[in-house]
Amino acid sequence: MRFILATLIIFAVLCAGCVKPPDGTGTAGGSGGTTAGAGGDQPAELPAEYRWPLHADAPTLDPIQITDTVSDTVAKRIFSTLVKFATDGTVINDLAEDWWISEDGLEYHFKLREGVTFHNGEPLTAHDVAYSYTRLVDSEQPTKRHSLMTYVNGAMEFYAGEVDQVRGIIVEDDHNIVLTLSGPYAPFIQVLCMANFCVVPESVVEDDPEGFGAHPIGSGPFMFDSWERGERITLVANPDYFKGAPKLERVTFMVFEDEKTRFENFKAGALEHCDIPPSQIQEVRGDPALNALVQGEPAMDMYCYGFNCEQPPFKDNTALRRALNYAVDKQNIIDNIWGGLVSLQQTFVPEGMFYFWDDSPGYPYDPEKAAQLLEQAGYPGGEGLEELVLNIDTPLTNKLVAQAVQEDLRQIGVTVRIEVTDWGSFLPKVYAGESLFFQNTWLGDYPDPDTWLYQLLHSDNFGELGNITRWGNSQFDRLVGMAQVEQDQARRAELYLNAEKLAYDEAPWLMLFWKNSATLVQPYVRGLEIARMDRTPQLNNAPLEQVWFEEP
Amino acid sequence: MGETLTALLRNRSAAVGLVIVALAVLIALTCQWLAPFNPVAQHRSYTTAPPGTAIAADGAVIAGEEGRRFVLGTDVNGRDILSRVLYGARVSLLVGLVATALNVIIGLLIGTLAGYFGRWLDVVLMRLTDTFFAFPGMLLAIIILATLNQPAVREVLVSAAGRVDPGLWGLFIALGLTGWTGIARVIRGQVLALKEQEFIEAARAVGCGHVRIILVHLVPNCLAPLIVLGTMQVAYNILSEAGLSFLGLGIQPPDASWGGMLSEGRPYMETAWWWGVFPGLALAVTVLGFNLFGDGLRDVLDPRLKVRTG
Amino acid sequence: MTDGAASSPDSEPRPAAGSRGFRLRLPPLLRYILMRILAAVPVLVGVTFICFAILMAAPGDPVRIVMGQHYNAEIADSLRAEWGLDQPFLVQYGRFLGRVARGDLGKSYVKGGLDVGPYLAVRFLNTLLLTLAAMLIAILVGMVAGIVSAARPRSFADYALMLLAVAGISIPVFWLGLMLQLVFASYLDWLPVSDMKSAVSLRVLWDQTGGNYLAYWWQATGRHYVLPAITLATVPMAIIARLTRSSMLEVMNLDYIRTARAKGLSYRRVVLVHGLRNALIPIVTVIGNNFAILLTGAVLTETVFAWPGLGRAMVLAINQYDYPIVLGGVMLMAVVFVAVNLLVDLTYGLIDPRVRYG
Repeated sequence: MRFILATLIIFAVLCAGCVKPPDGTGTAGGSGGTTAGAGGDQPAELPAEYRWPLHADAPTLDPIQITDTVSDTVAKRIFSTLVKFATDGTVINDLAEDWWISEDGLEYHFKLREGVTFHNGEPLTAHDVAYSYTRLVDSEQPTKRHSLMTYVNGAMEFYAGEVDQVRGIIVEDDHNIVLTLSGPYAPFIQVLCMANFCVVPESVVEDDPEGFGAHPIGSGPFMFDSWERGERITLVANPDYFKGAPKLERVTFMVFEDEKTRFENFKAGALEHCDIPPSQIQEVRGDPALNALVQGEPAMDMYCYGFNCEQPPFKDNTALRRALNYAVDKQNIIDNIWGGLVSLQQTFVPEGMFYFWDDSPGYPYDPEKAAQLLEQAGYPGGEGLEELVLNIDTPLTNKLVAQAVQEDLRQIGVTVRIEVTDWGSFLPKVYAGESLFFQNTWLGDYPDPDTWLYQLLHSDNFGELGNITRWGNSQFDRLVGMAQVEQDQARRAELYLNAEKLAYDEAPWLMLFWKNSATLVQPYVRGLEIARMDRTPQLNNAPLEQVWFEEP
Repeated sequence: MGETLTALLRNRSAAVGLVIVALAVLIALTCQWLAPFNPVAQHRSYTTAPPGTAIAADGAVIAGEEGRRFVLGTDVNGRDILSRVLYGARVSLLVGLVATALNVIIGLLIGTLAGYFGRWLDVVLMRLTDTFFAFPGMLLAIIILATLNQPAVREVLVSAAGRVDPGLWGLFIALGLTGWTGIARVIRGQVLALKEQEFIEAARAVGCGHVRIILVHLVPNCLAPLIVLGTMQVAYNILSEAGLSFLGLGIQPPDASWGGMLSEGRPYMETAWWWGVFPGLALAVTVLGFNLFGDGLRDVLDPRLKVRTG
Repeated sequence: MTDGAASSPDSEPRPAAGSRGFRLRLPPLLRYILMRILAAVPVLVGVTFICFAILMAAPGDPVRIVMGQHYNAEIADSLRAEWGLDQPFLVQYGRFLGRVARGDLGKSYVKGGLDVGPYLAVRFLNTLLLTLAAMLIAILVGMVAGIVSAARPRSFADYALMLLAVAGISIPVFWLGLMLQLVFASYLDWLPVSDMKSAVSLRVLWDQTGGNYLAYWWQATGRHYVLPAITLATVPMAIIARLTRSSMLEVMNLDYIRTARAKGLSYRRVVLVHGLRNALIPIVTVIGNNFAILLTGAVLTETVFAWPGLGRAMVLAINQYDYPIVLGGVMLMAVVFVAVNLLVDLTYGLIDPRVRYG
């Protein structure tokens, strides 16, 4: 039949057009290299490139516009910052050969390495650093994170257009730069490690500010090669990298939005690492070969529920909030729904930085205690307590967790109704304090207790600034405020411990779990270190220049 | 009427279909007595248990459950699949019937008005129908539901919905407002054909007003195709509800719905296949029943309406 | 005095036959196409208007999604201004229409400045390929089933095939997809679980298959079509089977067929050559309709198989409040729908000599 023939022809033509045989510059697909691993009965050769999975395409590679972890992880390989994170969370040198902070905590001096060049050969100087930082608060540039520079002298005035330059950025000479702050701020050095502070070449960006995000030039271990939107971003090694050329030749960041697809591709040997979808955890645990490939530990990625402490019945009712905490069997959620892929949350500040409350009792599952506390709260057996509306967003596991919590609370007489809403449209309500009981998640931007305790629990930050539970305690505020300006680590740790204990007594959150950075890694991948603060599969802070392949 | 009924029962597909439909309705009405467990009761020691697992003497959550079996297994929260499948029938049938009722009302209204009054009203209404028809598949329903799921809108819905789950209301609205186009077109065709017939002229000559003619003479004659289309539409709406719940837009947890169970069970297909297989089977059989019944009805009531519009 | 030329009736331009006094000398076919396109415009406007109205009426905020946990009121406001979200509804709609008329479908909110047009075009291509594959299967299998059924009415084969057909339109498509995935991909490992292309490097595949283009194509992308195409084909296959059967049964009872048989032509020849040709007319219409519907509505199949197509992109965009993608996608789908229907009607005219476009 003609129709069928026509259809067949159209199909064949279109198909052929999409999948060309690779010859030289074939762009419809991957690049060179053979596969190893579970693939086939080929002689196992090691891949020539690292195929890195992304769960979404990067919106941009322009540092000042980055607000998501995907752009972050790609950008960190293309660019350099003055300082960066080691995988244990400490701050180490990157572009800066040396740095020191003045006694009063107001001046940050950086001495840059000599001989650093951008990928186009131009030398990197303090002027480029100053330019990159100024750009971050330049309202005429598409900057999205200007608030990170709040403490730098004159930064906000510059952003508002009141002055011509940021007086807190001082270029002493080509290799020395000083940043002055309006007040001491202990986490500042960590903030400088963020991708928004990547150094860009002034001359290149000035030429084409709009297009820079699509063709970035940095000074990092890998150079930008190509970007197939929605498919892959390819980087090649920078032979002139100031810390020594990377061992890998290329890195290709491949976009796979579906977690199962990533997993299947890893098993087939087409990816060097991948995250473990919750539904596949049984399969992974049950297969010794796969199980051996799992790396990673609890990450600084929190998932819990928050109580609106400004609304009844949670307002001023610590006993009620604590009761609900003891009523939930968190281990059940961790084991059953998450297959052991997450860890119990017992503190407000996660592990992995200089301070951690490691002997916190947490709120273990104790329905009797919960019932007692409930009675203390004025609602014996749940009597008189109205239905609580719990707001969560749409991902499947979140719904399952909510149902488990709902059932646990039902056992002590508390009725919960689950409302699943699209989170983006729900946030305004949460920020405005109109939701009673809701999902509370946070990913630490940098490994400092400040970003947890100050942003999430300080009374200055109600609503969209981070403290969505609207819990406030003046004693707590004082402690955290003091810790912010305190330079001595030990003293800071003490202050934070006291603050956390205070918050623990008042239970503004229904603690649940920390997500893990559990990652499957191919056996021939060496040198991949997974940082606690990283999400998987982004693994933003893993030093890629130290990774190489070798047969196990 | 009597002869129609006999003819119906003699038609094999109609008979089978009728049995299935009746069974589904029965289950929907009596599920609270049929279900061995409470559909939302979680048995923590029996999560993702395979079909046939029995509750040991020490594992009972509720007194009196010792020795009972999870005939179709449990899901990751330890809820009995069989009970949830039975309760799911209630949701599916409710949505199917109410949404179809809305479709029929709207379709009848638009089709009749367009066909009877003709001219510019016809053009306008048919353009409107074309516009709704041009939305592919469930897309308009998806957009409507996504909008209704937004918090501000949802609040209005919750206060207006009263005892009924607001998720159900959302489905009624989304499916009710988008499925009428086929019915409207067919009714319009019928009315156009009927309009020219003598008995209509006679009615007009006698002095009947438009409303009377429409209600008394035209509509009853459209009943045959309407019933057939309605039955098929119920099947379509049940499938659509499942699809929407599968996409996460329909019934919310922890209530049982076949589409919702498929969506929840999907990541667990390899380790707990019973979670996804049985609700899907129930869905397929129910829809099959309605389709068979509709086919039979068509064969009996109006052989001219044989499969033509696909 | 007579002039001879000026007032003679034959010298006046004569309107084309069958028209209502149009001065345009277009052939009737072209005029028909033009009229259909003109008639489609209000439909397209209506579709986008309804979509726009629903999206804008509800207070969803795309800016919040993009900013996530780093929400900042100043930046949010500037983004809103940049995207024109602070303007009144009609102004926004007007601007949208204006941009579309110029061929610019805008930039995605969530995917950082991605051009909507090219992005949707690629996704549409993916869906088109899947739909073509599915329709091929549906037509081949469906028609064969229908012919077999019609050739032996009321036989066991007939009842069995027709029961399967009803089952085909009753089974939830996504469930069927999940089952196929479970059995053939997960348990038996014969076929890939999802996605459209193999993640294994193309060069590797090329080497593995030794330069054999067919094998290479199969490994690289062909295998991935099998399960989703079968899933998607189920419903149209069933519809086509039923329709083929009933159409052919009708046709075969007509006089001229009986005449042919009386003249002694073989049963097979009669069925296939004469019966089918005339039964084709409604079948083509149905194929066309289904094609349009599949093309624009393969959402569930694409979700189950993670196929990077238009339907899935739309659902994701709707959930993320990525208005430009939703609106662009809806427009694209409506245009495709109208275009395919037009093509079907034209084909109808080619097949059925009784149809005129005058």
